[in-house]
Amino acid sequence: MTHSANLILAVSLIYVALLFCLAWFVDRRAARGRERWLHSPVVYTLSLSVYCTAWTFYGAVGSAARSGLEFATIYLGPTLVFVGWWWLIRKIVRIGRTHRITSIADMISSRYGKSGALAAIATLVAVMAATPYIALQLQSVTLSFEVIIGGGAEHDARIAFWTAVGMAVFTILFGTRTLDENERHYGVVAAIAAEAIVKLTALIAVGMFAIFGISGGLPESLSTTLTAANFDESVFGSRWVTLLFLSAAAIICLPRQFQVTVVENTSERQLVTASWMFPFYLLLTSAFVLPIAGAGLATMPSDANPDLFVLTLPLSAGKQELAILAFIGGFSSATSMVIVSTIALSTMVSNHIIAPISMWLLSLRREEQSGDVMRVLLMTRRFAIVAVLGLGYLYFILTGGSGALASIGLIAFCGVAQFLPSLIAGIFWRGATKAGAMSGLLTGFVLWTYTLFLPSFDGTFILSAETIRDGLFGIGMLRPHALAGFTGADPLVHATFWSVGANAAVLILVSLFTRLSPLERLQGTLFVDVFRSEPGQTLGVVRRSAATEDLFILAQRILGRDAAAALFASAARAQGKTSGLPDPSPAFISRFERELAGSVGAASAHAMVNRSAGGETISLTDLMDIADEAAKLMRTSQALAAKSREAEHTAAQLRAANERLRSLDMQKDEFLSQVSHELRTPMTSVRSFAEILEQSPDLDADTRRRFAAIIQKESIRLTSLLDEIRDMSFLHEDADSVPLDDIDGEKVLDVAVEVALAASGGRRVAFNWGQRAGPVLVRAHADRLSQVFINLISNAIKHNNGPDPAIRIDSRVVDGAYEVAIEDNGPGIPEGLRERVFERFFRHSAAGGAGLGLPISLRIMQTFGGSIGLEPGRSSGARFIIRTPLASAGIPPPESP
Amino acid sequence: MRRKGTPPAPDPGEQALAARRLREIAFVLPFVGLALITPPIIHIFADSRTVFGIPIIILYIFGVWAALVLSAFRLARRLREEGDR
Repeated sequence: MTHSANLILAVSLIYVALLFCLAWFVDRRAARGRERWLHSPVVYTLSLSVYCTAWTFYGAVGSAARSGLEFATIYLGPTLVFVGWWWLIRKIVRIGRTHRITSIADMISSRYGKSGALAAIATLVAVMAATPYIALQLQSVTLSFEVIIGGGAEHDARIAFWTAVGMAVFTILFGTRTLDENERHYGVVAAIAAEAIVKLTALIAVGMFAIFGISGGLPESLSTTLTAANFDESVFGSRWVTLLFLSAAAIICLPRQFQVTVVENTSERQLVTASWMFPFYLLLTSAFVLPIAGAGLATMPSDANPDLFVLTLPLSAGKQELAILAFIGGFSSATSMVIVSTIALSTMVSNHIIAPISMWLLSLRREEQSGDVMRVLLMTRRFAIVAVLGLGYLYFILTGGSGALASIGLIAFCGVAQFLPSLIAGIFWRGATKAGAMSGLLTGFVLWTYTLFLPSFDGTFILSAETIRDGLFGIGMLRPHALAGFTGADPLVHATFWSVGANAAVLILVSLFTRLSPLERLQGTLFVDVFRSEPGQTLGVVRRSAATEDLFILAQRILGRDAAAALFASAARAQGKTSGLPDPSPAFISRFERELAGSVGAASAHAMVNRSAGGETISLTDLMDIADEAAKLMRTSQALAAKSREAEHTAAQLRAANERLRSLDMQKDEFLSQVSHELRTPMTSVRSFAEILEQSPDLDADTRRRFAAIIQKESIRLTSLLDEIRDMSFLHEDADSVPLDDIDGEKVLDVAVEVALAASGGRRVAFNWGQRAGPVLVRAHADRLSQVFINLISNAIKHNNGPDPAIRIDSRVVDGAYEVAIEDNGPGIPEGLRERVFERFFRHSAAGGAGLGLPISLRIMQTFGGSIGLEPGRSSGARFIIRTPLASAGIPPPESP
Repeated sequence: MRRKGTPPAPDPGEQALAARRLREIAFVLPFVGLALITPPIIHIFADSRTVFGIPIIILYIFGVWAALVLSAFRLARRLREEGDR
């Protein structure tokens, strides 16, 4: 029993309508910035499964039925590439995001000096290679439709035609509503992800049915496959390796794979997950292929088309619902491939072929309007979608739609593999040149066309059947399937060997003998070293000047008014301007070009910007900076060395500070123990005499008085010691808070001399004035200055134990300071101790106080900004010199005495 | 994002070495996979032996495949943790 055509049509249309609603809904949410789940790695991975087309859904089973395990190579190649994502895909994705790459052709042209010609050639190759692939989808939809409505497989051209028309309309509605500035299509990605689930579910359902409904268990289903497929070791020969290579190349180079893997990628996190999840998806898909093939071979008539087992198995078993699910699965694989493929190809056609032409035409017309280029590009994208599907339809008609699905797909794989040499050389070899890439690509393309593409028409298109059999002009060496007498190989192996091999060889040879232009060198370095260079750091290398107004007009024409205004406003803000247009710095022009490249491709953007900016110069020094790895390494190590020097310096400072703190701490401990010792001596004598007085009531009055006098004297000493200690700590705490005045130093000195002489306690001292400075204003504190004078004069009296003690005081103004010299004729201070007299508790002679007088005096003078020095006296004694800075204003002229 | 059980302050040198080894494994993995599924190694399993009724070559290819997916899964998790540090 079969289904009516109307039912199947209705189901297909409902399915397409649901997909469209999903895409529309997602696009709306994305526009409002609510697209977070779209960035999830799972959605990204599912969108990668656009790799699994109708070829997988129908053709893999056919391939397994015809040649056993060979089908697995198509999924093992991509598995290896994704498992090794760290090696290649990560780099391509990073480059794609950094340089706003829009397609595989854009990637290659951008790397080789943003060459427009190279981009156009690459586009041509991509369109040609996609043609059989799209024909394959049309063929599978046509066949499956014919089978499910109960007819034979007629390869009806009308069904294929309407399928193509439907898909074109669908893709135009889907993919070209806006010219997105990033070429990202959130709605499409969501729809593709949904289709990935649909097709996997359908395949698993049919697989389960084949295993348990028909074969009766897994081992049975698998062994029937292999016996029927006449499996032997020869499967794992050169064809096996070639297929692995082609599928690995295709997962990178197919325009639609590049679109979903690189262009639609939003973060490298997605890639990390896809590295295992995508191979897992492929594994799941492949796991059910063999059981279906086995069940089909066991139960279907021998003339049944194995490509349709997925559909005919449930149909012949009367499972109607399962058959419809299988049809939808196949339909969904075909539509997702066609949508993404045609979007990617139409982007390439409009950016690399139409945009340069339309820019030229529009500039002839001299009427420049906002968004006009954008409108032209959108229109061309729609036409390009129709054209690409039309070519696929033509291929289907010309080949009669009779080939095995897998063999048609492999023609496309070999075609896109021509991108591989330029791509790999471009991102790993700085020396690859534009001339090399272009000649390599052209060589490979011509060889592919001649050895694989044209012969696939079986003599109905350009090459006649005789030419295919006997070679061009009957020359045996030029036979398409045995070029240069290379016979005996499988046609696919033969074509792959010649086209990709010659492509790579020509690329390498021509690159070795041609020179890189500065722009190629720059782009080459940026691509090869994408992980080392900072994005934005290199923007200023290309030096151009342009009027910002011209650039703004250009931006309006391509991006539209609003997007252009937003771009320029953000650039102006980045330059620190609050209003108006940004300055046309080289960095801005390069950034602007990169933004445009996201819409129209690197080559067109470069040409457009240069038309406004005039010629460019590439700063050779900057270029050398980027290019010269050695210089870069040197700079890095220099920076490191500077950093470590800085660290060492800081560490040394810290060590010094630590030392200082530790010694201060030690000084403090020392001071405390000295203080307690100093306090202990008088306290001990006070206590002992007080005890004697208390315990001996029979002491005579004289002794009593003597002891009381000792107690009093010691108490006074204690008091003065405590005063000194208080002064000392006070000075330490408030060194800076002593209020300073402008005072007359001579007056202070006079008073101090009188006080000190009166306090000398009756010792006879000869006092002499030497030279006097006369009235002088100093900046100091009167009481404290006087304290210093009194202290030094009393010292001079106290320590002068000579037979004829004498003191002489001189004062003068010298070098902006008031200087007082106090000299005695005592024993003096030996040279080695001169420094130490200013230390705390240092006592030179037995007479006198605690040894705090001089340190306190020095400290006081330091708070005035003055000093105390010690010189040997003119005769035997010591000579202290006290210096106080003069007051800054109103210094009275010194009078000579 | 540090998993439970990792020491609070791992040696940075040790960590850098581990990260580097991880990247080297990620680098080598596809080549190991390639060697396993191409001649001559694959010929070892390309005959009519069966295990539980299933041809050994099918078990071998899908086994290598599953092992690759599993290794990639574990690597991806570790590499992402590295990236978070």
